[in-house]
Amino acid sequence: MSAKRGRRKVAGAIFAAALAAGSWISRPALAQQQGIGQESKEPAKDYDQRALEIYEFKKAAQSGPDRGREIFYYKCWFCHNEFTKDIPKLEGLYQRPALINGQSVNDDTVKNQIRNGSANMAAYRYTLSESDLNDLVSFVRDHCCWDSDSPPPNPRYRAR
Amino acid sequence: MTMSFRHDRKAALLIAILTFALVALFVAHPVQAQDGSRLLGGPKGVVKSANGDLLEGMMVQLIAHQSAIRTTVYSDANGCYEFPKLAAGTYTLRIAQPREFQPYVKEPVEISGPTQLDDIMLERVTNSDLLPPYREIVAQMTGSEWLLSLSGTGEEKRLLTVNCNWCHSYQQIFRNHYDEASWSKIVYRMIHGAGSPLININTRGRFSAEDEARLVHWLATVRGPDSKDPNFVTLPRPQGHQTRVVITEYELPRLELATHDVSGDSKGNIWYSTHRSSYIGRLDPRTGVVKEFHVPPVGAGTLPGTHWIHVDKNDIVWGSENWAHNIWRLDPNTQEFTVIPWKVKDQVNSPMGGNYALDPDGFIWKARDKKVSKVAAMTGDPVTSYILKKFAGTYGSAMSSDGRYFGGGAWPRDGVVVVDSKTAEVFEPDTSHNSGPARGEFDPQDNYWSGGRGGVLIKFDMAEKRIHEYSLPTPYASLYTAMADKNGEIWGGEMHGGRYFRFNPKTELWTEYLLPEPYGIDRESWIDNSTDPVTVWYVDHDGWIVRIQPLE
Repeated sequence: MSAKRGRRKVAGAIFAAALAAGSWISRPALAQQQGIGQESKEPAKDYDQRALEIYEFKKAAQSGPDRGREIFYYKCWFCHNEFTKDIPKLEGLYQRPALINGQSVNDDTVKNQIRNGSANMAAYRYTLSESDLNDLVSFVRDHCCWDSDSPPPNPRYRAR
Repeated sequence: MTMSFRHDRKAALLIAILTFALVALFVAHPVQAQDGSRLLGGPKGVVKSANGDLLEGMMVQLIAHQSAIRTTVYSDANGCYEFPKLAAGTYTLRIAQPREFQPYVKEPVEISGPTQLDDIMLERVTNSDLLPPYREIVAQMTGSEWLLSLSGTGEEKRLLTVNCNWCHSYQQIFRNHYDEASWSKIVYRMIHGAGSPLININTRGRFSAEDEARLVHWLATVRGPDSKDPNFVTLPRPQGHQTRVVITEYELPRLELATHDVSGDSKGNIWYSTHRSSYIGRLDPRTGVVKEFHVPPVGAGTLPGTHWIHVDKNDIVWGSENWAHNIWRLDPNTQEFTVIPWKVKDQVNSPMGGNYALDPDGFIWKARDKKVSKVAAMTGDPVTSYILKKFAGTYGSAMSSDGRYFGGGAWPRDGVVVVDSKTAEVFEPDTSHNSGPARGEFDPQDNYWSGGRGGVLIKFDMAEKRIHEYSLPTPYASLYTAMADKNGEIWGGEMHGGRYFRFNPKTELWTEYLLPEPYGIDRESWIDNSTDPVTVWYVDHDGWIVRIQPLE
């Protein structure tokens, strides 16, 4: 929680400082790039809007394997889960001698598999960023996989 | 003496009248305390734009640091807002969904009684009526606004809204970019996978192969590798009576629960079901504390998860396991579960039609396999059945309060099933194409109301024995349920619209309450009729419980 609170404070401080200065840093306005022809100022991020956390896969963590678990649940689990048949299981992937395509198992080959997909798997190259992939493989490598019997804790919950 | 006596009698009469009036005042007081004014008296202030305009319909939110409970109120035409009385303590003050304005976050804010808060001044992001697709703004867009803003024909968008509307938000689709081959693989799994787990794959999809290909092509066009996020057309902010509401949100202990239904007990607690995990929970709204209960383990190779949850008149909690095909019964006092294997033909991990209804005598009602059945709750054995001539079954199940009528939205076709158990009459009226009636409830006049996935509110009028349909005011929104309160008003979540509706059948007028979070996967609701106005509860699929308290 302290990390989240600190993050919000940083965002708030940046926003307040910008307001106090009375002007925003001049930058190419996205609206102009999009053809609206109006000046616009990129908003600061308020992660208390749950929708932003959801949109950026940051409900559990800003980065690292906990964020990777969240990406895994939305992008991988619906095929690579403990119940489906005829779809490769990913537990212990990094202990195996090779991927199905014959390549050795390491972060680069796993990320390439995710980027490019296969005959049966979608290619995520246009939808997952490099930081998304890094967080995702950190989960697959060291913490895989999802446990439907024990979903992760909600960092926001603090009523006791 | 006589005169004096008369005067005394007059005085006594006067005292009696005054006493009666005073008593009447005090007796009236609890009733008055039940109206919307009880939801005022807390922190207050004004919302303005940076150039001094008073802003209506802004969602002002306080988040309690101790409990994480979020309370949201709405500014009126004068920019004024007022919270209910809140526990003294430290809070975060913010504007929920600022959209065309820069985020506003102020913390810590100390609250003690009716604190007058500093004016909230908001800086615009843009002066355009279209919102630029900055990440912060894109994340705030409802599914309806995505569909208003993306290119495509009405037919293409309709393919999506009538087929992809119950399991997840539309942002979960539109935030992605894939090539057409990848969209095809993803859509195939979604269309052919059974239920929301998508574990069992059916050769026959939810719609035709031609429509599946058209949907894939459209997605690859608007959300392909090179597609740009659109400038966003937005829906209007609330005005007037739409601002007269307080919305409270409660956090749950875990993420990714795929929360589904809520039901209230006699002690004021709210129970929730989780669609794809082993836990259910009980929220104490006074503290925000949740107690989790682990449903007994399911068989190997079977996904855990509870669909329907219902608290009966004795505070016994009932639930259905839609993937493991059990009914369970929980006694909260002993914390003991009783698991009742449900005799269905479906394979595990596929839906068993897990929405049921309890009648006043404790029997469970369901509609499956071309009949409506009344079954013994502890065994699943049928007691009485009513044969259906047209429909295979229903998605939802509801009983009238006196136990006479059963109702449900037909599945998988468009229609409604109503059974009169007193006369054994069975009604199976059609509804309009792609209206998709699902779950619902009977109103005090025994009319059956159902939420339609096609964005239609459906009524089976018991007196007229005919269907009436009412289209939602927000485009591209879907309904899942329709709940009737004690006054006959109808309530339901506008999925993908980011709004919750209230419909008055007498005036046929809608009230829409804007929700603090935009995606609005608000399936089944529960209405607390003990308050006046009523209090409405639902649990969002993304994992928080919401309380809606209208002021009028």
